[in-house]
This record gives sequence, structure tokens and C-alpha cells, in this order.
Amino acid sequence: MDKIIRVNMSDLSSKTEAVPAEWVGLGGRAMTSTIVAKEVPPTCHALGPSNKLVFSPGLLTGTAAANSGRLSAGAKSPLTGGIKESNAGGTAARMFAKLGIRALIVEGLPKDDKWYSIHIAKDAVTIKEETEMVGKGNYDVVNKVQARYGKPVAVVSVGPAGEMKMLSANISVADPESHIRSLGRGGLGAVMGSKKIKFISIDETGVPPVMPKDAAKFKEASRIFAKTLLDHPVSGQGLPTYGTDVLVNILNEAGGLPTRNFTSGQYAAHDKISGETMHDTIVKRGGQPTHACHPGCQIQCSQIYNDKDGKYLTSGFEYETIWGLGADCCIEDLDDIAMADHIMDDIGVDSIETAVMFGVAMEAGVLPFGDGKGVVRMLRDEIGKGTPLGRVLGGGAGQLGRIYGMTRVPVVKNQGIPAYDPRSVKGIGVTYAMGTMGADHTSGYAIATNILGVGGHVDPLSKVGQIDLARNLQIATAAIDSTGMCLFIAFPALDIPECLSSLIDMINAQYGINLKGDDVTALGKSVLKIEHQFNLDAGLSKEQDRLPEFFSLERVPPHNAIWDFSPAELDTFWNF
Amino acid sequence: MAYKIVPNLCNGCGACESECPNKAISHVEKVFTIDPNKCKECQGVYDSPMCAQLCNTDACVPA
Repeated sequence: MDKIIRVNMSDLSSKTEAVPAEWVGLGGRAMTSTIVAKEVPPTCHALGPSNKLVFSPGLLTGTAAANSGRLSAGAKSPLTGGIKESNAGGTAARMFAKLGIRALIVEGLPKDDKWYSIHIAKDAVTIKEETEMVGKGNYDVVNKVQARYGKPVAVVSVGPAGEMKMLSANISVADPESHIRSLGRGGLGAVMGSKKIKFISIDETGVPPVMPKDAAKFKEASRIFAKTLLDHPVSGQGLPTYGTDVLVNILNEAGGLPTRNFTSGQYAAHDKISGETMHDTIVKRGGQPTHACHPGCQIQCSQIYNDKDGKYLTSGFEYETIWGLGADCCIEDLDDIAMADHIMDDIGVDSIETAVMFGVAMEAGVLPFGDGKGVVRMLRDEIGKGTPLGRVLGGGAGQLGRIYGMTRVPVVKNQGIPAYDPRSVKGIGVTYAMGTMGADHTSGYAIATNILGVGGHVDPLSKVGQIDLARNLQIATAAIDSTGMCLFIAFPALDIPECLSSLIDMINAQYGINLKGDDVTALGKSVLKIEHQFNLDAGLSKEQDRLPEFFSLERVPPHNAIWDFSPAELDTFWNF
Repeated sequence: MAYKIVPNLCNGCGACESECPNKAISHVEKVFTIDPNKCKECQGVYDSPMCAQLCNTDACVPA
């Protein structure tokens, strides 16, 4: 029986509700953004009593569909001031779906200064005071919570950064190996911290698998879908072999790898931090180059990276983190970056926001470019411990830039710009400028078509076609983010027609409905419009749909490319 | 009595692994395998082996 669970932290109560008619057929991002837009006052303080933190599994999560295990979290973002949806792998989404929980809505703030946990099991929601885990890092929390319950319950937690309500704080989700995946962007960890929730645990005991309405039709569609993931060169070969870090050499070659706080598009030491190098290092040290971040993932772009002594150091070691601390901060030692990644997961900060922040901090002279050991120390001893400098650094790139009087501060809507220079890859620039989430490559991944030749080719250095490309990708992404599917299914979806048609067939077989391709596009459009309206009502007007001025003043080598979209051109993005 | 997974039919999607009530299924390279000592064919839990119900390539068959 599908349900909505509301937890009210003001009086520590919970209640179970039927899914309202207007929310039936929603999942993931469509669900979180719809609920936030309906129930959260856009002008509220993101860390105050009126904000709500919403979790939702996707429409296909919990089924036998490959790659369907993403969990969405949504709220008003304390970082951007606008609406936020972030999604991650891990084991929690599947358990929410198996328990029939279409959304968990956490409201209010506790009246006292205590910390709490929420435990969700079949037919029971328990809110309890928590003392043991307070101040602990995420790795410790996951291990201790699973030991407490004596089984691999799902764990959704905040680290010290979330407890301190830092704007870069993320929410962690335990993966099948009890390692960390992250609901990374937009400071959602600060929202969870404001509600004084250290962790949420979920126990699936006694609940049968999610079965489709039409089993035969589902099986047929899921077989076709899974085959398209294997057949596409990106999802079937590139990502499984090298992980997302395969992009370092590709973006360097394209001149779009932001280097030394966005002053160049190429990094001389790119080979030292590349996916190819990482792969060889992992194999040499007995790690796992290929690993699934959630049960049922067939792409397996994650990995387990060991240190020099063959001991576990980090997993889910992503291109954006490696780019940020590598090229953008000029740290050449992949082991330093891996150690930093481990600490960021443990203290619970977004590795993109934090890496972009360090790029600005290095230019500001807080520490020298290339100082990997310094980054590790500041993460552990300043941000992790909440010293005054740590609080400054933990507020993200925009805050650091303001405090140090910097002008080269790569943020949109106060959120750090990831991994791809918008001047030399203009499609992603449009996504950064116009996205409802602030600068976010995943909201409309134009790299696919600008650089990887997926879904055709649009010249990355020309303005022609970029706004249409970014718009179409953002609409499709909003729909994919609602299914619970990993965004990487977009690679086959853009090139192999059977991928999208079988995805829709799976949804239809699961629910006994009859969606068409146009309905899915309409869902994506409606999600974007709901989010855009929330942002407008929150005070994020069209003047916020812009890149920072320095992108229009400084040309970036090697192409000497500049950001040259006019405001009027950008505003046509919303013509749909 | 136990089930097995035919390696060249398995596409590695992992749908079976997380729903096996006896934790008999694990990953070997890109495909999955069933430990015959742990597999009880879901007796007492489900009407028929759940891996076979979920598998989209019909790779889960009696051993």
C-alpha cells in the first residue's frame, strides 16, 4: 500500500497518509519538487521551521529494472535560496520503495537542543533522542547504526558539517558495502542538521519485493532496457572501465578542463589524475575498478580506491572531485585527492562545492595552489572541527569569495560551477546559467552532445544550438530524475531508441498505465516550471540566470573562448 | 536442490541479488552466481524462486 510519511520534529510525531490524488504517478524529483513547491513558503529561511526536507524514491525504484535505485531529496536550499533536488545511489531508495513510502516529509524544528534519529520499519516509524552518534563522521555512523540493528539497514546521515549547518553540508547515503554516497549539492545536510536529525535508518525486514502489475510485459521491457545499457559504448564500456574520471583526458583534450581557478582550459599534469591512471593504480593496489553504488546497477562506474598499503581509502571517486582538487587546485597527487575525498564524505561536505571553494581560496592566498596536504589538513582540522576558518571555508565558494574580496568566483545562484568550462563548452554554460538548481552539470548534461558525440553533435565553441540543447536535456533530465534511474542511462537513451521506449514500457507494466513518450516530456516540462516558479517567488529573478561577469571579461586558453550569450538570448530558454 | 545462474544469459543487472531471502547470490566479475549451499529455492518464503521471477533474461534455472 503506497503512502506518505510525515515526521513533525516540532512535537516529535509522525503520521502516515494516503498518497493524494495529485501526487499519484510522481516519484523522485517530480515528487520532491512538487511537495516543496506546494508546502514550503518560497521566502522562508531555509534553516528555519517552515522549510521541509523531502525524500522520495523514483517511480521504478525497488523493481527489477536495472539502475533504478536513486533516492531524491528536496528542500529549499540554504546555499542557493531556491528549490533543490539532489539524488544519490545507496541502499535507502530501494528500501523506501519496498516499504511503499512514496515520500518522507520532515517538517518543523525540535523545541529543545537535542539530537534525534528516525527509524523506519514495516508499519513503524520511531523518533528517538540520539546521543552516541553526535559529532561522529558518516563512516562511523553507518557502521555503528548497522551494528546497533544487527543487519545492513539503510542509513541516511549527516556528518559534523551538517550538524554545524554549513552551506556545503551534504546528506550521506550508505551503499551496499557500507561506504558513502552523497545527496551532494545545495546544502541539504544543513537542512537536515537544522532539524536536528543525525540519521535516518530503514529496515526492509518482512517486506516482499515490489512486483509489477504486468510481470511478463515488465520482464520483456527490462530485458531490452538492460541490453541498451550494455550496448552503448559510454554506459557499457567507458564508465565501467574507468569510472567518471575517464573525462579528465577528454576534457583536457577539448580545452574545457577548468584549471587553476578557471584561468585555463588545460592542465599540464592531467595524466597524473586521469581515469586511466586511476584504473591502473586501483588494479595494482588490489582495489576494485568497477563497483555498483546501488543494488541493481549495471553500469558500475563506482570503484574502491586503496591507499599505498592496499587499505581502503575511498569509493565513488568521481571526475568532478578529481577535477576540482586536481586541475582547478593544481594538486597532482591522486592519493592526496583520494584522502580529501574520504574526509569530505566522512565530515559530510559536497566535494564539488568544496573543491571549487578551495580553488578560490588558493587564488585568495589562504593556501598555495597544489597544496594537497594543506587541503587535507583544512578539511580535517578546520572544516571538520568547525573552527572560525573552517566555518568560512565550509560556506562554499561564493561565501569564501565574498569574505576575501575575490572577483573570479565560479558560482551561479551561489552554487559552485563544476568541472567543465562554460566558455569552451557553451552548452553546459547555458545549463549552468538557466538551471533551477544553480550551477549543476547533471541538470542538463550538454557535455554528452558538445564533447562526447552522444545524441548528435553540437559544436562546443559555437553559440548555435546550445539553448535548444540545454533546454531539451534539462526537460529530459527532470523526467529521468523522477523515475529513480541513474542519469547515465541518458547516454543510451540519446542514441538507442529502444532505451527510452523500454523505460516507458517498464513504467507502464509496473503500474498498469499507458504513458506515451509525450507524457514523459510533459512531466519533465512541468517539473522544471514548478521549480522555476518557486525560484521566482523566492526572489531568484531572471537576473540570477547568468554566469559570473569574469566569464565575459576573460578569455580562456587554449581556444581563447569567451562567454558571449546576451541576457535576451538566455531568457529564451524558458520559451516552452 | 538449488537454483543456478547461467553465466552467458546473465546481464549483470543485479535484480536478483538484493531480493534473495537466503543471501545466496553474489557478484563474480560482471555476472552473478548462486551459492548452492545457501539456496533453498525460496521454500517457506515465496511461492517460487524469487530470482527466477525477477530475472529479465531467464538466467535463473534449477541447478
